[in-house]
Amino acid sequence: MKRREFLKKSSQALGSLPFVTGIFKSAGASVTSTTNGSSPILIALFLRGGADGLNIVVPYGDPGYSGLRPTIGISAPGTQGGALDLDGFFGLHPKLPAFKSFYDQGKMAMVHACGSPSETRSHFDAMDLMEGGSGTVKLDDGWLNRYLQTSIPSQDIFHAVSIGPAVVRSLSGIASSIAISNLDILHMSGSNRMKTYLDAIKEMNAERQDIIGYTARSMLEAIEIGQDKLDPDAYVPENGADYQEDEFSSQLKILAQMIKADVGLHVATVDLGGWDTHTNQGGGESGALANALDILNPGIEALITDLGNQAERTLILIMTEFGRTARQNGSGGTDHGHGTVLFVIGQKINGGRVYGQWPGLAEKNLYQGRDLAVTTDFRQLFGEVLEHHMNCAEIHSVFPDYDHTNNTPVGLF
Amino acid sequence: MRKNYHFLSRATFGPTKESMQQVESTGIESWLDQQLRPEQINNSRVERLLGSLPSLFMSATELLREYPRPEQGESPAPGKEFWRPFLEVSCATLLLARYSESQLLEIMTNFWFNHFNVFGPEGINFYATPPYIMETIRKNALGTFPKLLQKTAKSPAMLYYLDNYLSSREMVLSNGEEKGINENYARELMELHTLGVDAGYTQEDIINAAKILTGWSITRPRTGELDFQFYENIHEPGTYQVFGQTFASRGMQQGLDMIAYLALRPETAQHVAEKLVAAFVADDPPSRLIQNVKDVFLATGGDIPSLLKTIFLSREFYEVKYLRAKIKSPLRFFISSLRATGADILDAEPVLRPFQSLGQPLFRCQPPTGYSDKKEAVLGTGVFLSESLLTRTMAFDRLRGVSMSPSKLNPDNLTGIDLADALMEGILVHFEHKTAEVVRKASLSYGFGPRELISLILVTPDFLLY
Repeated sequence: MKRREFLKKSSQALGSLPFVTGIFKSAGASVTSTTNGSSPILIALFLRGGADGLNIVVPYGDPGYSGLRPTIGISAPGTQGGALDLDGFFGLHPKLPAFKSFYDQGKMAMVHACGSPSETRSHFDAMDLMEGGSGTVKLDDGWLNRYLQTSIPSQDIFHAVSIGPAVVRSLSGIASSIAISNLDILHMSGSNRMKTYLDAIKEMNAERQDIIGYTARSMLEAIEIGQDKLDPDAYVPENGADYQEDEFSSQLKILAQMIKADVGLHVATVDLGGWDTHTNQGGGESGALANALDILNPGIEALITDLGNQAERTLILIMTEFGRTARQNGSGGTDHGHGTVLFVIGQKINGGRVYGQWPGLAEKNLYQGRDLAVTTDFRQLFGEVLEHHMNCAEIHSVFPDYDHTNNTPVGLF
Repeated sequence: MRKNYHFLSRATFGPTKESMQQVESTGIESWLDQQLRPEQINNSRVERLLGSLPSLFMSATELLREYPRPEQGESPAPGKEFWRPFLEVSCATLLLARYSESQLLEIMTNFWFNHFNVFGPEGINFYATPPYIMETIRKNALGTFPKLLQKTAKSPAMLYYLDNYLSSREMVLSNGEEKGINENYARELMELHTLGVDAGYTQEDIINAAKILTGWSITRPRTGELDFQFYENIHEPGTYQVFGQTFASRGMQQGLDMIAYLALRPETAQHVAEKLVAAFVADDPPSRLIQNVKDVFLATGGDIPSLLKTIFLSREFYEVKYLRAKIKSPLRFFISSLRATGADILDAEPVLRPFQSLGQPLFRCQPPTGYSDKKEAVLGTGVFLSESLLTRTMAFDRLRGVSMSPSKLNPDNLTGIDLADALMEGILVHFEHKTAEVVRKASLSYGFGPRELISLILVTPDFLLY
């Protein structure tokens, strides 16, 4: 049976869920936060485009590595443009010095050869499955949303936030969430006339049970809290944090401000593009991958620095839809592949280790003869993050087609 | 009346008084027939406006010569910046959406651009994207699918964006550099452009397609030309099987054969039918209509006007549950608000800026999927707020580049409930009871003047939906 047919059948069996968002949220939520300054926070960062795990956490100790990547391979530690050594076998891309220092402090862990059981090499399909939190079956809501459905409903409008124009797939579903790209607009709406105008919008949407009704109400609540607590002009990063001028860094700065303002942030998503390196991927010093890492590394560094002791309760999970071909392609890049590396940054994890069983890069060990194999299902990692960092007791309902009890834990908690 | 409004809200960038009158007098079918022959439509007004954009109809080669990238230390002559053609085609898109009489052509240009998405402002695509939009897509948007597909396959913009211009047979250059295939375009050709992700093609199909397409590239920059070119010397000869069909080695013709084959596969017909019905009827499209559109696709060899007629003249299209079943994309939202209020674009350039905060800046979608028009993808909290602030700025006539005069909708200087009713009638939407009540209350009790009321009406659920 083709997958599409299977899905049609299974969705008939489940009954088709209409897209209703935010039914857990009562209209007119309370302004006081239901969380406090010690509740855990999860930031899910999605590297869109399929990030090349083999050049980000480089298995320089694998005898097959350098032969697969004659011109774009990262050389061994200690050489010009060489990897930053982690454990004598793996090394970080040299554009990730802050990651290296988090690793050395035990605050960062990687899971290599991680990914999806699905063989898809389609960006769209692979993101859909990873954000849906499933192996091969398409689920209507996102894994983060299903997590929210299992947790205590919150009255905080900033409880679950996608930084960007729309709520991303992983966060969408019936538990409420909002999407916002910048905090300035919350402050462009300050005058009394404007308030009357926005109230009229709220009034006409007060009873609507659709996405417009929910979005209108959430907008008014976001303004109410934002006016009071989230003035971007008044925000001063702490601890010498140095945010770059790019969009990614400014989005992380919004998150830092939300976390410190204690507006109840519990789950956040951020996206970073630029990973689909089919050409001119480059090696350690320059090229498309180095450019993308040059955005990622300083952004994360500034965020963690800025958060100070708030970083204690914050965990950053960095994911991507698939890895890339083990062999470089004919145009100095890599094509869509399979296994890759995922990152976890947190103060309380057993960091300073590259987790996962290494499948090796010998021809016979490559997935379908071309890609890094997957030895850790991404759902194993996501589940452990929810269970241990977010105190989720129902990971089986977040990942309905994965059985955590019959799999070995990654073990980073 | 509601039927005509529904039809126009989908087939155009928003009903206007004039288009409503036209459809009322000619009927939907004959209005549609006219729209499907855009070359016969008198479009002098927008053509005059486009006259202020000198780069608009230049070829990529002409653009390369007229708008060169400055040498180090030089600054370009004013109006000759290398990014200007991209800016001008973006401006033209707004003007055409607002003013063109051949609205369905503009809607389809937008649809096909997203289907065959490229990222505009990077590298040579600063030059290749404008003709890609104006010629490759727009000139074929109401033609046949196989021709449109072939034109995109041979366009420098697509060859650059999806890297096929670098794809080569396995070879070692004199400097030792190893060349080989690049799968990027071959994969998206099958996944996004033709068969669809679930069609059942394999990794081997992708590799074979990539080999067949080696040599499909772009003229080298030093020639001073920017055009498609096939290079026999980097083409991988050989007979290959793709998706169950064998293609004999015939140089460039082999690629044309494969593209023609993929264009008319039943899986392609299904994929294109699903996308069209979702775009024009509902995010969750009715399967019977998809089947009909697919049948017509196969029977007519992918004749796009026939597909559109099948949709717009279907019973399903007018079913009550599909009225206002979609949420406007940022472009449709913005242009439809101009068209409904009779507001004018005096200068399109500053008007491009708001699309950033609305989440879909023009021709800047990085992933090859193009922008989604699904509800959950177009309306976030921040976007709704941006829209609410934008209509207000516009209604108070403070949006640079746009002129809006409330007297167009309120010529008799009405006040109170009469004003609210006149404005709502002028904007043509059939308002739900609750919305109308709040708009009247805003006029009567909250002290809203005509500008504030227009701003409010443009962000009612009734106007955001279409």
